[in-house]
Amino acid sequence: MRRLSRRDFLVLSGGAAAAAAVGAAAGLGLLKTPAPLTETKTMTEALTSTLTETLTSTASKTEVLTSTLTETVTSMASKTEASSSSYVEPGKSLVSVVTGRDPAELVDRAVGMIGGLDMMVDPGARVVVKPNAGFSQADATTDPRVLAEVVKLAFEAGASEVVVADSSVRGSDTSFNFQKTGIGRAAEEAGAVLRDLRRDTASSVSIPMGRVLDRIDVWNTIVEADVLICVPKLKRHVDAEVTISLKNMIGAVTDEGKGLMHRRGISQAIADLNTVVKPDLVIVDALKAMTRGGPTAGQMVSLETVIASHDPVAADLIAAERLFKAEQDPNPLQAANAVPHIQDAAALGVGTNDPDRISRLEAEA
Amino acid sequence: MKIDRRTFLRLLAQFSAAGVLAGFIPAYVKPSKTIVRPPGAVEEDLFLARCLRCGRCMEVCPTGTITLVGVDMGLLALGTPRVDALRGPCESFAGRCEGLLPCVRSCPSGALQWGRRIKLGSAEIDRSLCIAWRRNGGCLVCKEVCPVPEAIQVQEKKPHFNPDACLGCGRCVYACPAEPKALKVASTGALRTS
Repeated sequence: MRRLSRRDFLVLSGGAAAAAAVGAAAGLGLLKTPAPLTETKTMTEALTSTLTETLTSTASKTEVLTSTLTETVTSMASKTEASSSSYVEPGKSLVSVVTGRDPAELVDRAVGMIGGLDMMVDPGARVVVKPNAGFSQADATTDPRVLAEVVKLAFEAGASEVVVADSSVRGSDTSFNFQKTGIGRAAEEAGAVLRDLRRDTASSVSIPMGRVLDRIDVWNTIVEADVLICVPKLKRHVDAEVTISLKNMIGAVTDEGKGLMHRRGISQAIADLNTVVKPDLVIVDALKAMTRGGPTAGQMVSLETVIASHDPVAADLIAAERLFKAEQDPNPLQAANAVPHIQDAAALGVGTNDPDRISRLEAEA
Repeated sequence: MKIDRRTFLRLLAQFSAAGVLAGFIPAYVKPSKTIVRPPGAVEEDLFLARCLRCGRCMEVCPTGTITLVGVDMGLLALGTPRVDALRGPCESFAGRCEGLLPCVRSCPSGALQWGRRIKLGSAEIDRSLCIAWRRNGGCLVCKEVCPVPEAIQVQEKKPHFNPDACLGCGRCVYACPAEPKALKVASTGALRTS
């Protein structure tokens, strides 16, 4: 009996070992057999996609060329138009600064004082509004009331579609921020389409004037916009000094693009980006500004102000001046002009940071 | 993320390979003590005993941060969930999962449980890789995404990490633009439920 059972045990264990080996072999085999198939498939796929890519890139290059040309022509045209407009002093950028209680009225007045939206928005145009929805704290993001009014004005000017779009800092979910800050509800109630850009597709955009970036991936919603309106929040930024309109445009690029911008040198990269992804209009929410400690948990100061301009650099300069003034800086304009990305953007011709070339229109609403 | 055919086969192969290897190298069986676990994980020994390796917590995680331990962290830990900040942040607080904890809800065996406080571990910085430390500024993305005000303190435009305040969500790790990343989440100081 004993001998038998021992023998049985050995036989059994031998069998089990063999089964395990066969099982393992089968497992490996299972892994291996479909591999060549998948490989061939992926190779074909890769080939096809390379072909498509080559085709698209050629197409996009032509497109870029054409669009650059069109842009040049349009900008020339708009310059001629601008100089004949009663709203513009020749050679100067207009910045309106309106202070008062009612956010909607502030936006109305600030935009109206620099010419309104009617001249910018053609009937049927697709308007994209880029708020700062980079965080889930309402103090750190664009006021929903300001945003709703901008959407309303865009529709009144004849837009067929208004898209409120952003992609927040990597690691922070934009859709969650939309919902948490009230931006989402305000935008949708005003009739806009809400878009979490992380679910959008992107195109590589060349930056001919870039100093540290030669191209960057921009979300297609932004690329395809007829009119781009940047609606940033006025905030201090622990690294970039301030974050207003120029820095807000970082949400227009993909996560990889954002990473690249930080690796290449963020201040110059912001300036480079703004040469190609340039808002047609900037409306700064300075109802409550975030001072020292920004961009997420800074001290809040009530300024009850909205600032608007077609020149992002001038808008940022004047807004930053307000911010530094609120911090009791003895020389706020100088402090604003010392912000590296404002200087870099001015050097690339995105706009002007020369106070003598800025015409400031102040009003109370 | 669902356990698809590929993941299943990989796990099967790892299990069988590990079974063969375990016979030769006993040390190989021991699970690593430094695995970052999902929120609400019980004490490690109990966790290893309770976890069914069913992968449900991974399937329900909306950010994809939960993944399954491979053969490299000890045979006994194989197939258990771990939090990998490179795949996404853990939004169990100040995020989509706050007050919901789908991973904990999905756990059928009590390996993950509701706890009073969540701390998965703490973030650690390698200053030699950090953009701000190398260039005296120019990046504070970690500070921008950090939901805990005291966890990262900024001095002269450089981030200083406070492991006691950090809750180990990994947002900073996921967001860090340095290549290779200057940050990682270690299991140091993790709070376990009981």
